[in-house]
Parts: sequence; C-alpha cells; structure tokens
Amino acid sequence: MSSYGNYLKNLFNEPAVERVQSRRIRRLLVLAQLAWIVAAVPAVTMTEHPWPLLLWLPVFVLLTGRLNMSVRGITEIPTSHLDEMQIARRNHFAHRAHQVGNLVVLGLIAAAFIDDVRLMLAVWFAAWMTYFGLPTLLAAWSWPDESPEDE
Amino acid sequence: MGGKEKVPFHNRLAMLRAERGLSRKDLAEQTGIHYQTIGYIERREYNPTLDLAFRLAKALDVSLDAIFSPEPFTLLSSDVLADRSS
Repeated sequence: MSSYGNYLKNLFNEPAVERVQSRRIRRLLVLAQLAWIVAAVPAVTMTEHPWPLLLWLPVFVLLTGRLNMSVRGITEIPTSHLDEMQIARRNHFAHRAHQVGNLVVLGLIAAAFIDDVRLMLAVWFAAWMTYFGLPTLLAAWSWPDESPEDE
Repeated sequence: MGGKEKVPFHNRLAMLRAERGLSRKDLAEQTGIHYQTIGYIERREYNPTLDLAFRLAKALDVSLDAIFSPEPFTLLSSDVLADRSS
C-alpha cells in the first residue's frame, strides 16, 4: 500500500468529513461547482487580465476538495485502498460519466464554431473542467445518505 | 439481449453481528472493508462477491448459507417454536 494512498484514504475518512456527507449538502456542492465552472466563462472573456481567473481558481480547488470529501474520495483514492463496493461504485460512476461526457464533447465541437476566439477558449475551458469532474459530480449527486447506524 | 436481472440476496448479517455485539466498524475491520459497505450489504443495496461473503462468514464463524440466501429467511422465532413442537 502506498503512503500517498494511505494519506488520501485517511484524509477522506476523517470525522470532519461527516459535515459534507448529507445528500442535501452534496447536491448543493454539485450545483455550486457547476455554477462556478459556468462563471469561468465571463472570468476569461470580460478582461484581458488574468486576475479574474486567478481569483476563480482557488474557489474551484476548494469546491473540488469538498466534493471529493463528500464521496469519501472514491474517485481519487487508488484502487488498492478501496474495498470492492467502493470500486464497484466508482466504476459505475465512471461509466455514467463516460455517457454524459459524450454530450460535453458535442458541446466542445459546437464551441469550435464560435467566432470569438476568447469566448471559444472560455467555453472549452469550462467544458473540460466539467468533463474531468463528472465522475465525482455524478457520485456526489446520487450517492445515498449514510444511515447513522453505519458507525 | 435479455440479461437476467440482478436480485439482492437476503441476509442475516445485522442479526448475526448484533448477536456477537459487533459494530459495523468492528466487522469491517475484521474483513478489511469500509464500514459503510457493511451497511449497504445489510440493507440489501449491495451484493458482496463470493470472496467477501466467505470472509464475512469466517469473521462471524458461521457457514455461508447461514448469512446469505436467495430466498427470504424464515423468522428465527418460528424455527425455535417449530423445533419445540416437534
């Protein structure tokens, strides 16, 4: 077992993680993440300066971290550190993400026809951010609530 | 393609665990899985692999068919009463 894998496993299973475990909070995090990804488009296009994107990035990283915590890191922790149910769930969400991802790819192709290059790049950036986060987003959205007796 | 629908097994995991005074975390540690997974199996939301099923049986010191069954289990109280009357 790698020490990095152990570190991730411990991190995503700390008692503090319970705060982001309820389905309501997980779904709010998903909506916040999607809204923030959409917000990247004006952040890229409204000015030629990089500062809006530099402000955008830390919030994105924070939201991504919270989302990963909310699903106990099953999309991040190495397979060797997950049990069979967690691996099965991760495979399920990866498959779903692949299906939904096809729509995102269609969006990317459509964006290639946008005349404004800055806007096209911004849409591509947002689409890629969505694409890479899809397994975690789908898992966080549909993961069932843990029952209190799970302890 | 008409694949056979996957039906969750019936199980007595929660009862056997409670009888032994084990929490989900205790049983999870003994079998090397996450405690949430025990909950999913008990609620019939996940069918364990044969490997995990045998590990659970070993940890609880019972045979596999004492924990899992494709058919609903009879109530233990009914079994006891039937034994007494016979």
